[in-house]
Amino acid sequence: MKTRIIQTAHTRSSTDSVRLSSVSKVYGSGDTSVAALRDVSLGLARGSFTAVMGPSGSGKSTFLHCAAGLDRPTTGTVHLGDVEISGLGEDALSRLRRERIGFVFQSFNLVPSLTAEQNITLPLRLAKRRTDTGWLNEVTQRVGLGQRSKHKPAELSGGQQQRVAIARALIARPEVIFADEPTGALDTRTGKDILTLLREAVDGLGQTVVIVTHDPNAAAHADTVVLLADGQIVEEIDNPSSELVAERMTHLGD
Amino acid sequence: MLRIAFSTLAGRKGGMFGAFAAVCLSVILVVSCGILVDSSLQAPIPVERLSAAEIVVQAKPEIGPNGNVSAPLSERRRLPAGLAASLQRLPGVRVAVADRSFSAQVIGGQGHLLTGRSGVATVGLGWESAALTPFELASGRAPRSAGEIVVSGELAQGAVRLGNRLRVVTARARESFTVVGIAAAPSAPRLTREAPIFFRGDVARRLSGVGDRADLIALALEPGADTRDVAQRVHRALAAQPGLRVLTGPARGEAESPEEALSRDDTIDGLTIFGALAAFIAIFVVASTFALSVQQRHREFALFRAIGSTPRQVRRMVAGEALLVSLAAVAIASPISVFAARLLLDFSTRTGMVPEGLQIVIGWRPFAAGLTAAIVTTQLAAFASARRAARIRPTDALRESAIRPRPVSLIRGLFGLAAVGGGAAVLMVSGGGRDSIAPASALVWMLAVALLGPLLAWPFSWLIGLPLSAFSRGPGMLARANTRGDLRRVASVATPLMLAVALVVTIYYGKSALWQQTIEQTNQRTTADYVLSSGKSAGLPPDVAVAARAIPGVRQASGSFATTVIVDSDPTDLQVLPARAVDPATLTPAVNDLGVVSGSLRDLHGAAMAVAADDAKEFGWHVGDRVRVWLGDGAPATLRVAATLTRPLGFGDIVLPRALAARHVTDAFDDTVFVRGGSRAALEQLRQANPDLEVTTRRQLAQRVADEQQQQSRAVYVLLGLIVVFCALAAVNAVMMSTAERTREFARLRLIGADKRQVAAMVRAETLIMVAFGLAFGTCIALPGLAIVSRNLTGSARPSGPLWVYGGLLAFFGVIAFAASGISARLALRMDPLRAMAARE
Repeated sequence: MKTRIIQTAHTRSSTDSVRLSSVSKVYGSGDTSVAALRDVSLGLARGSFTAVMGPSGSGKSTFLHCAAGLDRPTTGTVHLGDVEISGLGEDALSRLRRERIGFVFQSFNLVPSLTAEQNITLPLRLAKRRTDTGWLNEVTQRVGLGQRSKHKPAELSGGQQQRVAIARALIARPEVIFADEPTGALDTRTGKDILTLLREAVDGLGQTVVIVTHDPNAAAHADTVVLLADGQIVEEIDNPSSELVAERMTHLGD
Repeated sequence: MLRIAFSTLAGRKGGMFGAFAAVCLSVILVVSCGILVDSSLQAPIPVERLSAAEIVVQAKPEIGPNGNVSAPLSERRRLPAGLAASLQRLPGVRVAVADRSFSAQVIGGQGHLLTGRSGVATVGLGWESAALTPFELASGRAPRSAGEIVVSGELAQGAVRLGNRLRVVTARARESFTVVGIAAAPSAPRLTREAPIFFRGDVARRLSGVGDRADLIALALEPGADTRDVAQRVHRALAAQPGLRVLTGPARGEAESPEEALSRDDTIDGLTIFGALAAFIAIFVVASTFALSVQQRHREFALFRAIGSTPRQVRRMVAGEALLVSLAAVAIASPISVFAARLLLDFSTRTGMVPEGLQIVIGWRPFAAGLTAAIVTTQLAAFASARRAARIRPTDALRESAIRPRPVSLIRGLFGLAAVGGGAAVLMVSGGGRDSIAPASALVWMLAVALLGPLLAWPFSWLIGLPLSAFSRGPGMLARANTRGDLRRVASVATPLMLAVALVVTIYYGKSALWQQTIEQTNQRTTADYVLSSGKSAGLPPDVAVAARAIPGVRQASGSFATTVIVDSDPTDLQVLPARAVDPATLTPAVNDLGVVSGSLRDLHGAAMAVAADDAKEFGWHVGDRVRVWLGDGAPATLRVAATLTRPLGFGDIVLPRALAARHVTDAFDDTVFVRGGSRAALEQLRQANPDLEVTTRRQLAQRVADEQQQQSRAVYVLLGLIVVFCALAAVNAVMMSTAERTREFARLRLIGADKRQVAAMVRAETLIMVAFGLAFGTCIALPGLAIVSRNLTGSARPSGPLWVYGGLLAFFGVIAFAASGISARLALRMDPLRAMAARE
């Protein structure tokens, strides 16, 4: 049985970092068209940690694309703070990405020929902004890199590389950080450390974080878990526990 | 393993395409050159005038006094005419003729020069040589008295009639003859080289000036006689005579026209050198491209290792792929090579490097050479890079960041250092003189830079990157870091550029130095006001200089002709030096100031010679020494060094008295008469007796010398141009290969906030660094050798020559590289960034 949750008031509030309003994304046309997202409306409040989950084909990648401005929705709008990003051009979107959106991928996050510190400050350089050394130090400390900031990615472990990636995402104090399977390539302990780090970013720095994951344990670190299936939001779970999330995921097909 | 190689290849078509393209281009280059060389080798020199003489005996047109090394002769080498009599007696021989041909200019009634069809020159022969074609009387009779001649029907397009009186000019005499017969050779191929004039036998002998020697002994056989049998008998009969060869069939063409044989051999030498250079370059390009493609698949090899392949299996897989790629490349490139060979032939014929009428012969040898070269090179390159690939630790497959293994292995580094030392050694032992081997240092250093390339690229990128990253903080800094991080990629793009620049600087500016120095010396040396020469005919008879002297107002007139002298500079080497035969009595500083530094030209009489000072120093000769040399036709002579001189370029390294040389050249016509004083109008009066005479001034002479040098070099320039194009294509290939694999890297940058413009700017900056690296090092390795050659020629180490060629080359490569990187970057940026991140590498 699918549970459809009524939209609560907070999804229309202006304290949302990201807001999707009636977003649909259709690929192809006519008989071969595929609806990856169907009339999805969701607001992600500032300072919240959201996990988006779903089986493959559920549309979570498309969701990420639209929310981050990488894909234009077929219908509906996407707002980043007060700015509607669904209609912006490529250059404006690039500027957005370097100043207001942070990205962490599953792997291959870092530029191999730069040191960790250079990787972290790269978005600022691209934006031609000066690096605030104090903030840089704080971010480096917070992610727990310690003395390794002069090392190249090849000399860092997987977990350390993800820490650098998170630091890079944090440096520009973005509106929202998107993480696509950030712990997918890590072992459980390291993964847990990374998730804890993201949690701290939310709690300590007031950062908004959205992760896309298929791991219920990862999702359990979030404030809210949004379950997608067949392009629609089927459930929102507040204060999730990994058992509850796992159970809900298993019964998604019922 | 081959099956796996095939399927991995099929899956990685994109990745291997770059390596495939490099091998393809190289094969096309090498095979098309090979086809031309093969065609030249196999192209027979057509037999025309000697068609009816089945066997021809000739003195070998080369000398090899020291056994293992030989030098070709530029003048006709003659043999005793008496041999004809002894060969006549052999069974099967119908007639044995002592054949002598000599330049005979024919002046018609109206005073202009008569020629054969299409302007071919006239030659004099004895009437007995008519049977060799065979020429038969179409009208009239054979020459009976000394003043009678028979002409071939083609002369003056048949405008010559029986009874006409013609003036004939030879090197020895100017006489008038009556035409008593007209001959034709309907059964023989058309004569394209000469139009014969037949004299009575003894008259021909007198006019030829060679006495009891002949150019050839030609045998016409009895009908039904077996050529091979008779040839063997001739061999046996001549066993006692050294230095002769017996020719039958198509080989007779070499005897009929030794000049064509010489020019063909020059062509073959030139093409072979070019082919060797092309192969040299091609090997570098293939090796660096292969190394790059193996490196790009680093993670894939790690995967293979992780799932259980042994290092040996990975090596064999790489070798197997290399084999498949090279076979496929040869298959595709071979038909294209044939087409390319035709284009190359067109070019070469137009620039005069290859004689007209050369036909393309498609033999198996060039393709075998191309196949061997492709397989051997790719296997070697694969072996070197596979060793690295096989040693990858399996865990590398699981690591995230792209790991670049150590750029230069110890062995490679050692070889590289050895090559650096080798190049320096070449420079140090290179002698003075024009033919210094100093430029070879550039070749050795090319090897050094190719081996050490990645090591050299690091500090270079660091340095050049400084202003770049200061100028543009984001893309510039990235470019600097990327080029330092991926040194093999830098090397694969920079290496072809470096090779091309080094070659062009070495060859073009090397020749340019010689060329400029020749013009300068000619200007300094020529004090004459006017220079007389002939148009298209063999030259001016010696009496022209005498007649010029007789003109009132003329202070001095001196004639000379060019020949060669062969010297054994050391027991293992024979050098053929350009020489000039002069009239010592008239070669005064009034007409030519040769810059004599020791001895005196007044001693230039009898068995003596004057030598260029540089050569004398190289050979260890001093004024007064008696030295053994060989004259142009191979005749040995012991000559006394009478003087040394400092302005040989454009004149001759060795100056001989004409009396000495005249009997040892093909035709003793003057090619130049220097005149001091007089006037152009007066000199042009000489045209009455010499319709072909041309009067030029001193200034025009220098220009003509320059033009001739240019002409000779043009073929080389065309070939250089081909190499430049090849290297440009190789660099473009490397750029596209390396950019195509970076889609994920670009996507990542875009996702963290770089816009497409910034990524493109980063790629442009990287290209700038790589191109600068290649061009800078290419120039550096060529300069020392060039400086030495310049210093030998001009006394100053500063290279001479037009700067626009160098600048143009740099600009060309810059534009090509930037265009390639721009286009490939744009292609790589097309994909949506997130999709690119998730895609296969």
